[in-house]
Amino acid sequence: MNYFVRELKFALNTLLQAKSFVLAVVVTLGVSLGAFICIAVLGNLVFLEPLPYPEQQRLHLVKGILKNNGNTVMANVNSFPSAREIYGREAEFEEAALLTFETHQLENHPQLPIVMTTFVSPEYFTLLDAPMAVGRALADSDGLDSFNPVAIISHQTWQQYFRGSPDVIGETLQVDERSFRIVGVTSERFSEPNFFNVEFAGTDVWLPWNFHSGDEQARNDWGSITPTTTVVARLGQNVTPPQVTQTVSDGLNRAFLDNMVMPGGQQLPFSMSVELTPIEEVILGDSRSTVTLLFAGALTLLLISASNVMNLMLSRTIQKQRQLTIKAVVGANRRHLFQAILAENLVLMAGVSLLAIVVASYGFGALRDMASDYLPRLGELSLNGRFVFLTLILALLLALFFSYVSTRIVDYKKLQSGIQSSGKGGGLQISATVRAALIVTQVCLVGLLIAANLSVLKGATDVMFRSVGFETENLSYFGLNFRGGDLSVEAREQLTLNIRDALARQPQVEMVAASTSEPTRPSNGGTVLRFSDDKNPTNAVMQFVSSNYFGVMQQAMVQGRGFTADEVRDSAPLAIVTRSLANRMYPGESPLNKSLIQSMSTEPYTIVGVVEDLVMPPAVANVVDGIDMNRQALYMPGLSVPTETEFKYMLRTKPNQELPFRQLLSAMSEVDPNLEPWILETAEERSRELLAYESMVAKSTLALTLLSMLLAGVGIYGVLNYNTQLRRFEIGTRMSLGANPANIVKLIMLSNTKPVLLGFVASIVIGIAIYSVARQHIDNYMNLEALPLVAAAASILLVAAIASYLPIHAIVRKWPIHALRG
Amino acid sequence: MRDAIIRMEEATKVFETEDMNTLALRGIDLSIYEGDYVSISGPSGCGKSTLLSILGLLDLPTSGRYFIGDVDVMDLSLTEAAAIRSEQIGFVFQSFNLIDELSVSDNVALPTHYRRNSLSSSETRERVQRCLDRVEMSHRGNHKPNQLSGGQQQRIAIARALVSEPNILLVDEPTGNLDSKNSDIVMEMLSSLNSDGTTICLVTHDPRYADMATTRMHLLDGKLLDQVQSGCTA
Repeated sequence: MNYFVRELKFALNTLLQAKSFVLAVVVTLGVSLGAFICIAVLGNLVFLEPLPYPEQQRLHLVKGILKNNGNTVMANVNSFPSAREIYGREAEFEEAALLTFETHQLENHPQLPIVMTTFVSPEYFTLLDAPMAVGRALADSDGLDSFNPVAIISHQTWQQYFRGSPDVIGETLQVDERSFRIVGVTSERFSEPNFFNVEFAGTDVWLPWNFHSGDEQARNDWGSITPTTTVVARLGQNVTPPQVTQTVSDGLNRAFLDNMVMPGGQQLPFSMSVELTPIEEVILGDSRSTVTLLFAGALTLLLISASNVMNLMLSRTIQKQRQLTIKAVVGANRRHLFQAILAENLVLMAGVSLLAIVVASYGFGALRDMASDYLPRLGELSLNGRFVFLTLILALLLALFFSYVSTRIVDYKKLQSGIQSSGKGGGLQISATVRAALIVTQVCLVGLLIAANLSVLKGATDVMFRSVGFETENLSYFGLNFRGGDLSVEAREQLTLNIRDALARQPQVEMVAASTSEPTRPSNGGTVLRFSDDKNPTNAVMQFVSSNYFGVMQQAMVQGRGFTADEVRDSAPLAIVTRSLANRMYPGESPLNKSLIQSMSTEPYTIVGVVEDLVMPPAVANVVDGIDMNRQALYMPGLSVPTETEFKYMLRTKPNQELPFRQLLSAMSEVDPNLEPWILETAEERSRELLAYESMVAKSTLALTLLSMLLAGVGIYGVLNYNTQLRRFEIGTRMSLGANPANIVKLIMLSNTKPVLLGFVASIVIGIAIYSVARQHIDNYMNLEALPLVAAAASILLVAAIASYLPIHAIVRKWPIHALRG
Repeated sequence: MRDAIIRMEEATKVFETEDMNTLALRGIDLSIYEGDYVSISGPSGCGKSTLLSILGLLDLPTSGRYFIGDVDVMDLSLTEAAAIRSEQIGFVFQSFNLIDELSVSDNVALPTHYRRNSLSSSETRERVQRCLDRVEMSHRGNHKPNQLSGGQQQRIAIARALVSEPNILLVDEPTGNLDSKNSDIVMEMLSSLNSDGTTICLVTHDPRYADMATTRMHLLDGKLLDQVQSGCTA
């Protein structure tokens, strides 16, 4: 033991004299080990740790499913009465909560912020055991039909709009012209799941469920289906999910059919059922694949770093030959030499562990900043004792591994005899096989990581830079609500035209089109309905548009024509379809002048035009039965939907002209004081918002690619330089026999090419094997394509060529005696 | 009068380090003529190997002049120097410097690969065979160097030095790593080569082997002190 302590002290002293070596090892391994630990903590939360909700295995999202003749038309949707029907199933649910999501303005706050508002029944807070920072959650007294005007705000809302004041309790929020008293603030630790099938960045304000904005008709209309109302429930102790699905579906469908009889007693072809999704699946879902990929990336990075450090260790062992020789000569046995090397490695790994813990701690913050919208449970990330222990164990294992390999390359017998030679031509020799294995391993790991990174990067950039199907430059979306009560159809249409004319008068505006839907918010505004011409029935997203809609959007007309102003005014029975919808309904033939029939109507619509598909980012994917509904749009001439209180316009502004929101507020108040504009957003802003995930993926994979390239460069340079140094004496001999610099460069480059190519081929083989096994988990992120592989091969060969040339150039530019003397 | 194969005038060599300069060679004047057998001896650290490295174009003198034939070595590029080494100089090292991964025949053939005017395969094979015969090692052509004894390895190194049919053989402490029996065999082989017309410059600290040369030079503290016998002018 005393011997080992002495070795530790000796190691500390010698390492202090090798600062660049220490820095290289600690930084390389510390950063990658820290990144690995950071992702390992996340992986633990996603795969192993239970969710922070009581009895989470019994918690389920109860999704309403609307079907037409047995085919799903809409998933995770409900009408208000269907949600209440599910909520009331006490036999199946121990506890259930109603949720409706809306966007509102805090009308009495000086900043007039738009807030995400979730209307919930009090059980929401008990089901999720929501921790509170201040005050209380909703209670029984705030339950269904109590109409008690109280509010809970999120921790972020508290900080952002109330400066974290503890006096916030008792203050009022004015929402939709109604005052709500704040009774509680959720804790920063509250991890809120997204239960809706819509874009959802987290709730700012919770209000009792009855206060949602649905009018009296909507509250009782089983046909007003919306994706923003749902139910969360804890299943009873003695029931199974299939049993609950069956009994709740039966009851729900009976009630649905009873309430959905058309005039004349005709039964609609629709049915309603429920689907239970465990809350774990709702929260974690696809993120498991993302975390697996991140974990694989971090592990590969760690392996590359370990491989780099191994090369450094081997080089250092070579450098320490004299020290080891002297120790061997004075009686050190193989165990003593191992302990000497281990002592040095332990000192190094202590530094590595410290840096890794710091990097992991910063990594949690970086993950929260960059990926909180895309990865679950980031708020729960923290470095606990278990992971500090894991860090130390990994560092210890690495130290043992490095020491073992370093000791293995020392030929103890040669070491003992080494002191007897004159030193001319001596030196530790590592076999060509070991040298080649080092290069192959290094290149294989780097090749895997770079090819995977480039594949992910290509996938993300393909989405970012592809055309969405219309021109986004100088295009804006303007949305406003009417707060003046019910409007007749005629009054609504007149108001639509008045708003359009007022917008067209704005000096910055070039063209205006009215529409019942904004293309990048299909689930909020589009209506998924089933169309049939008795030939190829399919689903389509339907919207009413004004005559110049396609001109404003600059959405290319592929066939036929647009609508005229008269056709729009008369709501003529015409339709324009997207290319994909046309191909699906009328494969191989022109859809023009064909008629289609909407399921809920008997009136035929004549197709007069075909427009280019809309290609939306995955953030607003709208897939039903495997069909991308964003590509299956159907447009009809018309100015408004009678049941909606919202008016929507697409504006094409003049180049380089900014249109201030306040200007439109003023213009709209002149049209009608009851108009309340709530959004003015440019298509480019919206595009950035929708592509934020791809942008984050692209940036992080690009950073990882560059880091991998840097590590690859350092690693491959290290191993090839090391390889060259091992051949230095041979090179000197060849030079002394007449080899000129070009001969030597050619020799080394060619001899390095074989293991480099072998390593890259190994990485391709392993990569294909991994891809084949894990394809279903990683298909969303990467595809096996030639371009990333070629780019990875080119990068590695370039790095290898530079890494081969630099060390040999340093040798051949001097006279042979330098190589011979070493 | 015979032309000198090698002519060195006032050559010095200084090794520079951060804190001191070491004068390894001081004003060396020497000429070696065709057919000479020159030995350079002296105590350890006197500059023998440094001098031989410079003579073999493995290094350059810091100052002075050095000619191989009519070529002023001081003006040569690394590539031009390499060409002279491959065609005009044969080098034998104390530690043999054979390449472990190559067979004996391939080791011997190595210098022919670096010639500007490359030899045909058959000519190379013929020369390798002739050189191996000359050192009585033709039966070991397919062996690897580490399968041979020290004496055998040194004989292979001599064969390799001869394969390019150089103007001069530079031999650095050839017996340094050998036992006395193998040392004698190698030294007799060198004498025999010289008798056949090969010009040899031998560095040794062993006076017994130094005496086998026709011209003996003594080096002390980087200076040539004296020479014995004709054929070598210091």
